[in-house]
Amino acid sequence: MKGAVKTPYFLFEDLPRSYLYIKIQTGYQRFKLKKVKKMIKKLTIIGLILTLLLSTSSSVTQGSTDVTPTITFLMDDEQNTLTVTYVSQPDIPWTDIEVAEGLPSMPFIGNVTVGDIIHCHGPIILRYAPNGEILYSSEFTPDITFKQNNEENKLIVKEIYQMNTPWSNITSIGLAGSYTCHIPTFGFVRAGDVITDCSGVFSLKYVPTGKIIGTFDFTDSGEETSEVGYGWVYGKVLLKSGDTTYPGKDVTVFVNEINENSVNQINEDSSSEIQAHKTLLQKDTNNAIQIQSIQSGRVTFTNENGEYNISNLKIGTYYMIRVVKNKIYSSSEKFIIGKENEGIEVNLVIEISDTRLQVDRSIESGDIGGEINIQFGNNSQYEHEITIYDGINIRPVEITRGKISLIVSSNESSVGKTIAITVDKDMFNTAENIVVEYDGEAISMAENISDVLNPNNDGLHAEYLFTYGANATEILISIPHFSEHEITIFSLAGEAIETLGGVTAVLLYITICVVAAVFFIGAIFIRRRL
Amino acid sequence: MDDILELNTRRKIYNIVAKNPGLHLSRIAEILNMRISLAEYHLVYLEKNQVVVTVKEPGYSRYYIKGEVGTENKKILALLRQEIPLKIVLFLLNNINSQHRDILKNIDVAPSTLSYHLRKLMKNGIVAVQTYGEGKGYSIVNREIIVRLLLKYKPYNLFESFKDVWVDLTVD
Amino acid sequence: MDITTIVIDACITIFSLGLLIVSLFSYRKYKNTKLLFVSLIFLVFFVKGILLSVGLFYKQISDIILNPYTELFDLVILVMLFMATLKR
Repeated sequence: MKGAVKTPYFLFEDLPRSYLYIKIQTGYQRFKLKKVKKMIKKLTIIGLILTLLLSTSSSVTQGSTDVTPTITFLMDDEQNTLTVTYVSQPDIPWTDIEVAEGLPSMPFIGNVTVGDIIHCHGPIILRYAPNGEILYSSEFTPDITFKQNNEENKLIVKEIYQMNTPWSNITSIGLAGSYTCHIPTFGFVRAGDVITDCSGVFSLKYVPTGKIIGTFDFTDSGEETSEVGYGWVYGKVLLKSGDTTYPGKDVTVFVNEINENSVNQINEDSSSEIQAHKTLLQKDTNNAIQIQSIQSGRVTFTNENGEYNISNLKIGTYYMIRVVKNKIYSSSEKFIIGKENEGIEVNLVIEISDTRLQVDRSIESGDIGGEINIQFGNNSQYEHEITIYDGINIRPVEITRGKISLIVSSNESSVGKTIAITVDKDMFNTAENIVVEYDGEAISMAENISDVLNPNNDGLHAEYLFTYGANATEILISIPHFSEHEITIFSLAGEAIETLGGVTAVLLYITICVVAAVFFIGAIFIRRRL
Repeated sequence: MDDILELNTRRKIYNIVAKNPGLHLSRIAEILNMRISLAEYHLVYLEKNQVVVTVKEPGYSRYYIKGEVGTENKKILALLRQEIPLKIVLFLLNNINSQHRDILKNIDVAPSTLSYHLRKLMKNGIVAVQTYGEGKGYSIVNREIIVRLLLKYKPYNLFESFKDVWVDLTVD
Repeated sequence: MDITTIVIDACITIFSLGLLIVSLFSYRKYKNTKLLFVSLIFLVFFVKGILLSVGLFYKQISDIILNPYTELFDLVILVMLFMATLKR
């Protein structure tokens, strides 16, 4: 067959059709068609099994989240270090942080935690590996000045020193209400460039560093002010419950000034007032107020015009204050903008529940001997603070989600006292069966708060009471007599059941099993009938 | 040989010839791994029942399936899937004009049960009865159709089907 | 743990159990050693399915047994498949 024209096998009528013919160099190679089919069948089966294996393996692996976490870094120029000051999630591994530019020495084991240090020299850009978003860049923010034209609703670039800043690196963010502006999309920023169609209040942000370039007000105030002013901040901490407001206690306020690259702690004040403290807020400076509190509450920044709610209070939270314009704004990015040249009066109002009010009163009257406040802190651990009010010492033995174990003892006398345990609202799920054990034996719930605040009215029986607030859960336990006692609070549902809601998940699983079994058997039966 | 086993073998031969028309005897025997004489025995049966035709060529004969398979009768098929009717039909295919007691000797059921099944088969036109003298003889009505149906439509067997998946998995 | 995982793990368990039963019966009927290996394969699948299912509800099982040894299960399955291929 050498030199024969290549034709498909089935045209060779005299050749048995049970063969597959493939033309090779010297002629037609004969392959038994059946064997080819068998081979294909074998490969298909193996392929299907491999697919099944891969899919079962992948159902177990857990991938990392693609939502960019918020991580703040602080640069120390002298030491050439970058310190982690905040991480929004506890489970970001260092391996998820990649270097886009620079040669830092980074941790590579464990998770990103507050306090971790990166050593670096020169410019550095860090990216979140799963989605490539920039987390930190040490590049400098370009120095751009604008001229604001309120009549024509335009912002004109007056001066810029860095000539290679593309417009695409500049974006706008709103501060209060709606706004518009049309930023050029192509080319580099040059003097004379115009941002048109401006209205409302907005800031311009330099995307690579996240820094604000300028903030502009195009509302009808008619004033032409484009410069950022200076101001100072002072204020008090107040506790508010319903209509009652009274001076807060046990709230420490720090005012820190965060410049571009450093944190200077200006004032540490351990009373409930930041009295007569003034800090000069620089242009484009972010000033942070760190609030530390024993109780969880809602923090409200107020001024004479109204209240601006910020967020829930957590240990170690930083709140940002910016001085920009004539007005005070709050935004979803937790910014407050203060009065130019006049400073901001910031009253930190912490809203608390009625129960807390009662507890505070009981503390004052001495009925509550000691308190432990448990919160899930920023570095993904449970943190606690213990306060001894009247000789009762509380020592934690174990604190995990769904279980608390404490040893209580009295330094002074054996008289009965009540203790207060304040926990995050996620610690105990209201739907779960919660058991409180006193020296290993379950105790019963008190009738009401007055009952639990009186440790002596039930003989030698300890009692407990749970109060669920919007931000925290208050657990009161009345202890009739003191030697040392162990208190354990746990939910029966405990560790076994995961987030889906234990019973529901089990039922769902069983249902799916039944459905799958019915499908399997049914398919076989139907096939038999066909 | 057990009737059903015989039926299975014939099914295999039928399938091979259907997929590869024009095969000759020794090849068929080789594929099925059986003696040539046995293969020939079955092929003769199939030829007699008009299922298979032989084309004789110098040296050897080639086998082909004859004509159309014919329309399936769901009711008949349903009946033939049941064990007792199937056994009765297979027996009757080999033994024309059998009497009740002959059938009873070969199939292990109660007499009344046998009568019941024979009545069903007659009702569906598969079996017909002829009276002669004192006895009644049962025969298959249309041999060719019944033989075809038996060959072509084999009830699904889960375990056989499962085995077939894996049996070809080999490096040979 | 979400609904998708529950559905998949439940189906894995049931289907592997069903196929295990079918393969055992097939082996009994045909006495083909290949089918014995296939039965073992589905047994391992079934065990894996059970562990995956229990791991949905008990994280300890998931962490201690399943996660470190998932690949081992797969390897065992592949080895037995290979042996089934080699068998006559």
